[in-house]
Amino acid sequence: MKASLTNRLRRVQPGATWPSLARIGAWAIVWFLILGISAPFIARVFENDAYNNRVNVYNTVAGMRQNAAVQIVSPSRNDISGFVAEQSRDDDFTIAWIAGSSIQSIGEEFYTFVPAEVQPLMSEVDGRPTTIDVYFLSGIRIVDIYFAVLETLETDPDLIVITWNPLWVLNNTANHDWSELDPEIVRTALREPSSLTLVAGYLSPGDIALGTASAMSDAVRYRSQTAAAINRSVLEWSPFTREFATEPATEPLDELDRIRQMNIPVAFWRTYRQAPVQGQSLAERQLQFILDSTLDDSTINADVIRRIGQLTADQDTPLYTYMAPIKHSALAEPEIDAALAEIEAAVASLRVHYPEPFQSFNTTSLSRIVESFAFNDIIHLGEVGPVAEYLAGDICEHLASLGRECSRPVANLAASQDFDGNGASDVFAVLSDGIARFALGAESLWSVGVELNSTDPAELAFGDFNGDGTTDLLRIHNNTYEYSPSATKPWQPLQPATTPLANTRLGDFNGDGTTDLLRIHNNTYEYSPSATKPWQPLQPATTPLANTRLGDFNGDGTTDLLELRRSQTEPKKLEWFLSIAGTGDWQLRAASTTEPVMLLDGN
Amino acid sequence: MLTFDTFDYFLNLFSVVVLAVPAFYLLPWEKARELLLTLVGAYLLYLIAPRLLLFYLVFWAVVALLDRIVAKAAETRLGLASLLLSIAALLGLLVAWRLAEPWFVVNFNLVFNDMLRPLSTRVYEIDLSRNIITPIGMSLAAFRAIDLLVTSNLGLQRDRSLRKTYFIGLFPPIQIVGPVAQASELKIALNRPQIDDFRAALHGTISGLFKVLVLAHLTSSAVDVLIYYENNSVWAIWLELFIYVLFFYWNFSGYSDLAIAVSALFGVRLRPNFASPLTTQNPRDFWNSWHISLSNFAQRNVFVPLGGMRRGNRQFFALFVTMMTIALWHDISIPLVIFGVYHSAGLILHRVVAERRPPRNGVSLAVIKTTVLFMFYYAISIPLISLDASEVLPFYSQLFGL
Repeated sequence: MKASLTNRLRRVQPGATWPSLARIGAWAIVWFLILGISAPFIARVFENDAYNNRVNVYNTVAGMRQNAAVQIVSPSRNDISGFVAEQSRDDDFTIAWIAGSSIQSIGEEFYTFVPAEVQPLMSEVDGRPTTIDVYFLSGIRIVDIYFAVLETLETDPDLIVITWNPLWVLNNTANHDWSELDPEIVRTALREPSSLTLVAGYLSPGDIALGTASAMSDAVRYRSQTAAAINRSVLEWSPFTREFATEPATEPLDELDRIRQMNIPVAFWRTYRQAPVQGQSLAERQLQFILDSTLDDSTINADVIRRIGQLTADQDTPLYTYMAPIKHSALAEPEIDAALAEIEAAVASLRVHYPEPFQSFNTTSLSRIVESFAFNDIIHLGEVGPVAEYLAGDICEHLASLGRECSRPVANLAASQDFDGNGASDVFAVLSDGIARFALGAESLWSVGVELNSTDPAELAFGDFNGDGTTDLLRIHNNTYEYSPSATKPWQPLQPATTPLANTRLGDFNGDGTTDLLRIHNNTYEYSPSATKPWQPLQPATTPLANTRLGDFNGDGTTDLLELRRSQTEPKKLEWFLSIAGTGDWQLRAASTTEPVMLLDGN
Repeated sequence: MLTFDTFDYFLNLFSVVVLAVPAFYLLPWEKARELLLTLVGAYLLYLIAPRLLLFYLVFWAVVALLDRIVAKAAETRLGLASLLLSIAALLGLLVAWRLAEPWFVVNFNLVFNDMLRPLSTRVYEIDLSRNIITPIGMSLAAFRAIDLLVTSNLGLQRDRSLRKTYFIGLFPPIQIVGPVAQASELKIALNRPQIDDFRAALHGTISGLFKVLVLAHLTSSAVDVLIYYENNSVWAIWLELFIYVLFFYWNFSGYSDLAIAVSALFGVRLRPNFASPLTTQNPRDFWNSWHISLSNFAQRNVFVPLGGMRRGNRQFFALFVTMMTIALWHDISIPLVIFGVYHSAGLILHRVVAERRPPRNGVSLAVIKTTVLFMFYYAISIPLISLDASEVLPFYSQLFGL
């Protein structure tokens, strides 16, 4: 039996003997042990960075919503699996928006992207809901934009939007960065003959091999994730879990370490070629990129801008491009203004390559068009609203010139209140996206506030419920009175709502400086102090609430009730009864023989 | 920045080879075949960064010039002087890099990028987008160039044309990770493809990929032992150290296997660069099986010329200088000086003991010897290749629980 098995083994593999099999088995055990020891240590979950964690995030103010119509389809840095855009849906109007970090806006309480704010302002085109795929690559350069355009064309979008960053747009030290995407863009790049010279310059045979393999196998395309999954599995069954503390080093960096930490090549060229000024701030370094731009038509950047024009013209794909704004105070510097103007003019000279009417090639920095909004530094926005408002309007205007109808939301509730507490009234509106918006001082473009659950004006009330001097919003949600401080902060519950807002009035009946709720219940006026405390009875009511007027008629700082009643003795005669602060006895204050029709409700 | 992915290089190499191998065997002339491989090598350097290609074109042109000078001077009384001066020039470049690395790296990138601008604006701009790099492969190139010069000084007949020098210098499989192959080893196939070459290539590829993609990948995080040793127990550091040594070996020998495998596809049969060094039973066998091409270089050009084959103290001196050459090839630093002294001492001690007492055999003794040498001789010294001078004392204090 033993001999026959050995012979069979020899037929399979010449030279296979029991000792050799034993050796193989022994090695297998050794490798198993080694894998068991090592695998737990190397099990690193694929790190998804902050950008993709914020996919769909419209505004991360606590309690605010995500905008499901906007998705970021680009990978996180170091993700090698490429864009995730799918074919656009016929029943949607799909916009492919290609941009870098200049469409980000990060504040203490929010993190949003310009496209996410633009979408609600043009929520439908030709009756189709607008969806936006954001090809967001932080630090995107011109060649990256070109390859991203190729990717977008694969999905047949209704419109492509490109954000030119003036720091990079003609700076030839900054022409390509996202090399980890190279294998994934191979497939689309090779299909476009005019891109072959760029392919030869930037892509390698290895990229082509990996790109081809990725197309054939998801396991290859998502190999980082696959490897992480395998590692996690090994971790689960391995008996050799070991721990090794990995606190970060705190030693000072030497020069080589500093070079290692430069995350993009342009940082090296900028630092060592331009004789850097020590102690330059980020903003100063950013401005230097504008000053360093190469206004040469023969550069790769200019060539790529030309190619993008040709590419989108050939594909008959509507295009809208714009130049990202830079901080207004920087633009006020004559040197920066002149340098930016040169960049704008140089880019504008390439307009000839965007000859089609469906190509809107805008090269004027938005800073020259939209004034007064906040920045975090020179290029990164600290406030999106004004930019989003302008872009939505301009994009819709472009679409209108192509015969497409863009649905712009209409303000269906407007009020003048002081939401920022500066003593000046602000315009308030709710647009069809259900987001509170303000025009502070009635001058600026809309700023975004809290999300509402309704655009019905009857379901909102204004007042200072917390006594901070700014106007708050009040609503009923889930049978509870809720208020949003200054109409920008998250909704906070007050008390159970037993009366619809339409059947209540607001006033300060106890003179504490906060707004109270007033209602009629069981023929008695009741008020809820600050809308938070239980209802307390005031004077009996003799008319419907619609016939009651509120105001400080005696100037003591509290809100008084004024009832308009028909005279018991002379029906055509109208009598005005006043109750001071709703607690004082009704006092006849005036009478009339003519009937002011508009004031009376009911009988 | 300053990162270079060896795997990317080999991925590109294997991808190009798919086209290059058929083209190679379709070409009927040796020179055309060599030219094809030279162009492949140049293209692979260009993919890393055009400035690196320009650097090596200049480097090997200078080597070709020095080679001719040394060959002509070999018959004269200036022969030795010209050789030593040429070697000094090549080593000077290495020393400058090692001793003033930040300055050298910064200016290497700036100067060669600047030099591209008048040649081609387009290539210059593409180069700007490539990673910042060290002069990748220069240590290997310098030693291979020295090998060339020595053979010329010895009067060996060889084609010293620029074309041939570029072929030797840019031979694709070995220009980045070695082995430190001699020019005489780079004999390409002159006829039709041989099945033995392809079998060897297949074997080396499987072996190399398994080592690199499976074994080295799974153990790669053990590199952390050199960074985060401070907050870990002695036991944890020793365990990580052993795994780190395995990673170091698998990674290095895996890429060597791949380089040798690709060479075989073109009929170039390079000698193995590793021969199970971690299972050897004495220091001499270890150095005869670890990075064999470098050891052979040092043996040819340092050990033998210095009298290492003689008896007496001369051999110990030759051994010491040889080991220091090998050590300082990696880097010129205090940890590498310690590395050289440590392994010199080990080899000399072994030689003294072996001369006085013949080795005893036996399976159990072999296992014990291998284990002890691995754990307390090789493993201890490997971190010296990567540690900074300021980290040597803290690391070893922690390792030994001091």
